[in-house]
Amino acid sequence: MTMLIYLIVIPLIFSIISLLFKDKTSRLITIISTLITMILSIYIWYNFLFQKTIIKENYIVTGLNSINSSLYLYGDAVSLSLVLLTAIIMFFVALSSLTLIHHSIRTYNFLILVTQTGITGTFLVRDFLFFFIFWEVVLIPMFFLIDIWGDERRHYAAMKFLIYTHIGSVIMLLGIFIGYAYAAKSFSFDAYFSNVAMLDTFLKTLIFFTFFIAFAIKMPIPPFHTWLPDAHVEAPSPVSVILASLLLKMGGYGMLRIAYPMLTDIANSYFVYISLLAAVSTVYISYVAMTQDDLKRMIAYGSITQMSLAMLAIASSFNQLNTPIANLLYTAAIFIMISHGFIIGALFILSGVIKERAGTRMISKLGGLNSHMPKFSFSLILATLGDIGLPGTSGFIAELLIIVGLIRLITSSMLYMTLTILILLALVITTCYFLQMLKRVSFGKKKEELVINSDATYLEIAAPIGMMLISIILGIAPIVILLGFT
Amino acid sequence: MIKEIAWLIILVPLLVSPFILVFGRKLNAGGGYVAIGAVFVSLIASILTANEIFASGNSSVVEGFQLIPDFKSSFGEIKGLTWSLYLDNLSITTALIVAIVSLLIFIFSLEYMKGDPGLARYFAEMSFFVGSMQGLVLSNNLIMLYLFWEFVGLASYLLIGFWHEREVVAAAARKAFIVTRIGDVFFLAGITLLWVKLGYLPTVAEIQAGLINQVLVALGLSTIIPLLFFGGSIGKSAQFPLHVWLPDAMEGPTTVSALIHSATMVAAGVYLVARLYVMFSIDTIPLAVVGIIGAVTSLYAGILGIVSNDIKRVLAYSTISQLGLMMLALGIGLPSASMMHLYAHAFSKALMFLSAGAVIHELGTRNMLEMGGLASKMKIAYYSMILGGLSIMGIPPLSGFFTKEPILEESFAKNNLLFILGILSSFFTAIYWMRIVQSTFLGKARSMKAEEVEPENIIMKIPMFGFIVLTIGFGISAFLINFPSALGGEYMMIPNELNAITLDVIILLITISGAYLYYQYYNAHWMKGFVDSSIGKILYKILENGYYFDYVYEGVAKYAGWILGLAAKFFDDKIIDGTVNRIGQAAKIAGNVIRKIQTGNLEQYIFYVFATASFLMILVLVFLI
Repeated sequence: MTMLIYLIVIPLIFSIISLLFKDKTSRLITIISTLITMILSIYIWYNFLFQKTIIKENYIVTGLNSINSSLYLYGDAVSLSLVLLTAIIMFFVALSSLTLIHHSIRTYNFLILVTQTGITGTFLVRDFLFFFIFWEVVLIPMFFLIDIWGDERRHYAAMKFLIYTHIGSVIMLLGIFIGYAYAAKSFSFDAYFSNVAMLDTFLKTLIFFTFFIAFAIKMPIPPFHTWLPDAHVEAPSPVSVILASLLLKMGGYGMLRIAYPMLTDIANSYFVYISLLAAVSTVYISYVAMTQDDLKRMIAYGSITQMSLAMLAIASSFNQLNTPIANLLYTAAIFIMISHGFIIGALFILSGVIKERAGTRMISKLGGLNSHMPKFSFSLILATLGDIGLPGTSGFIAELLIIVGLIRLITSSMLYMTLTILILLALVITTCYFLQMLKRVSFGKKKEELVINSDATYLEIAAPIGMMLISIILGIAPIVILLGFT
Repeated sequence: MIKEIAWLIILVPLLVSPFILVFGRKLNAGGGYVAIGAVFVSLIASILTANEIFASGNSSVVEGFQLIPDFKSSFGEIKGLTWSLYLDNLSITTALIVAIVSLLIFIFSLEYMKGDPGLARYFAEMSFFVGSMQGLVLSNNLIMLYLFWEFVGLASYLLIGFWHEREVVAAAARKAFIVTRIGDVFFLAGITLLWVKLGYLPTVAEIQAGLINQVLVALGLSTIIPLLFFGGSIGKSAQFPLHVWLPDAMEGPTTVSALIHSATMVAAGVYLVARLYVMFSIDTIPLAVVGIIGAVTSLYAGILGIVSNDIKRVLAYSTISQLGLMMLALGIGLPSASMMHLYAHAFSKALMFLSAGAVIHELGTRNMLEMGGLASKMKIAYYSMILGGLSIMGIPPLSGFFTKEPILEESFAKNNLLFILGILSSFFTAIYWMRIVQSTFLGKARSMKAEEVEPENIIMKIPMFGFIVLTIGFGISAFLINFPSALGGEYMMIPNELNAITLDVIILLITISGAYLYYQYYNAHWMKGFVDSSIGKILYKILENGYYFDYVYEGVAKYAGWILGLAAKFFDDKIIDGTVNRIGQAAKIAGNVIRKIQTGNLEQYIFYVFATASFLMILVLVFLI
């Protein structure tokens, strides 16, 4: 069954097709493309749930044989679930772009479909050459997407995003080449995994940190996170969704798939620092988020908190490698990423809608939207409750999994006790500031200076409601995803 | 077959809710009839299920689909969870009572909330609440219970903040959510600790059967886990020190206060302890803590009830006080008495709230200073308030007597301190009840609104009648058929020994004297003298501000949090991001400097080439020599 390659090729082909037609048709083509990939990825995941066999497709590219590289696509639970996330999110991105993007539509559609190719490829390949190619393929379209369709400070934000993440990529390239030259002599992941472990400690530490820094910038983990608020805020909302729901997961995926499995002993020797960094970050960033007035910026910082949580789950999982907790925490990390993808997607679209309808995203200027924009307000409340982990949404299951994983360990060491307390503190702070935001935005009285054109239309809230619906499905029946991991 | 019907108890109100939210505006009474229909279905389903359970005398577990799968590995397994229900006397009776109370209050709402622009939203949220409360009561799986626990908290938040355009209302809703959330954190910690230490999460059925008792003792968890669970109860049932949200919650519509904040949601904390009583009684400490906190709360809140002028606030403090009494009952080993008092209180307090609601609806104010003289014009409300209050005070033959007396008697036998706290609480209960009756219904009308009041609507009268019947009939009929023992645990029957009867008489006298005292204060002068003195004024001020607890909490939460937030923001923007920006600037400056080399001047380029070549030659020569 050679299905995986289609997930990469279809968006690529459609990207070029969408460039050829006029605006309306181009939009239609994009929706069709994302719909096809979504259905295909759901089908693949559904099959995977019942057959539990890992899908491997190896495409030999002549000319690359001499350097031992091939397009090796690998579909296991981790990859396929993230690909599922990508396909579904891209569909909603295309849907929301209908109402939020107003100019140069063809170029826009071309760029987002190329981005989809890059992201899907990153999640599927098991060869470092192609991994790096797909990783980089994502950067350039994203730069243009932010630079052309963004808000006032888009040039600064786009440049910052590009340079910052590119530095990470270059560092990773260094690590890839060191690994190739000294150990693997082949670009496939398997070659690296088996050979790199036999290098001496200095080289192994070096390789680990090159990958770690690259993925830490992408995830992002403080202190490498400052590109994110600017990039997310200045980008147009559908692009923010791609950034937050998908690009950040590329970083998490890299940690899970490459950095940690390849160099577990090195990673574990630094476990104390990394885990404390992740846990302290969740609290620290929650505090920063609390003081933001721009709704979109607040959501962006909330994103960092969630990804730090995922980082903690990953680090703890590999620290507990030969116990059943390892699998639980590993799954928790992925579920956090998937759940967060949907919920944050909904929130970003809503922040875009409010800018269109009310002309501002500033919390201090908004108010009373429950009476004046009921559809919007309802969606905002739903999405916010998802982000604070209300039971019934996927956010709760995500938090539950990681807390269940960590609590078992709190009596075994002070470290775990500290980590758990920090996370709980972060969750409480997050709840507080989100509810505060709701109180100011949805409830309360509308300020007179606020001019609202009209309530959000059904089309505008279709994407956020759709994403939250999926989050609720995952909250009630998380087994739909979790079954693949057990 | 009957067992699957139990799912309807939960699902019908729950699933009807979004339907009402979307289509309510176009329906009659904003979808109110749909909501009433849904609760009615829930009631029928619970009656059928209750019939089955009582007849067979067995408890029963009903299973649904899997929530979280098992995590297996070659090193062991962590078991997953399933959606399932546990039906026994305790859970199905509570579900039944919830359904009855909800139905009557929904009917009352038709008239009380008539004309409100957010009517559809109201019924959707109320329906969501009922479904969630039933889910909480019937859950077999602790995570499912926690889920519904959070849902009722959410419903409470939305309903308290129903008229959210007013700042004070939105603030009250947020306070309720956050304070209860603090308790919820402890609850969740308890659940997850239990889950991971045991390797699996025991179901309510398993806990009830005592299957995990030995394991808990062996793991040393028999004290900490119940206490963590009780943390959740403290928040949800507004016990000290997490009681501060309930008085403010009165900003919501009175029907909301009647349903959620007196009869059902706040009772969830009591229900939790009763439900998991087997686990709580393994060790002596947990129940001791429950009892002490209950007794302290009971007196503490009872005293606060006597100073407020807001009729609903007084009732709120009364609720907190009665919940404390229920906790006290649990603490001294009478889970069935506690639940019986929960049911009696549900009826009696709802009755009092509906009475207050009728008054508020007609007068448009909650301030008792503006009321007065309503007894003749609002007869049903008047009788309701009297009967409800007498029941709460424990005057026979009303329900409250049959449920409160066993608690006080047993506490007298077991622990004198708790008994004294309980008795004093009764004393103050009588005082504030008398105050409500006196200020609202007796005496002369103190405002225009009070003078021109109309009698209540028939739609409001019917539910009040219903609760009057329940208040009078529940206690005596339950006693006659010996129902409480069906709820499990011990139940002290009404006294037939001389000592016990004497005790009862003394309790009654003390209670009645409280009422009489207030009556004297109101009409005589010597009490007024004390209250108006400087000491009296200081005491009054302290009580009025709820012992200043709110100030402390708000101060800590607001300032500590906000300052830390600003510090974090400064650090992030100026230092971390600043570094990033400075690196960029450095690159720019370096670029500018190097740019100066690009002059376009050919002679200069030749000079650079020549200079570099010479320099390199010198280097080579130096190294060679």
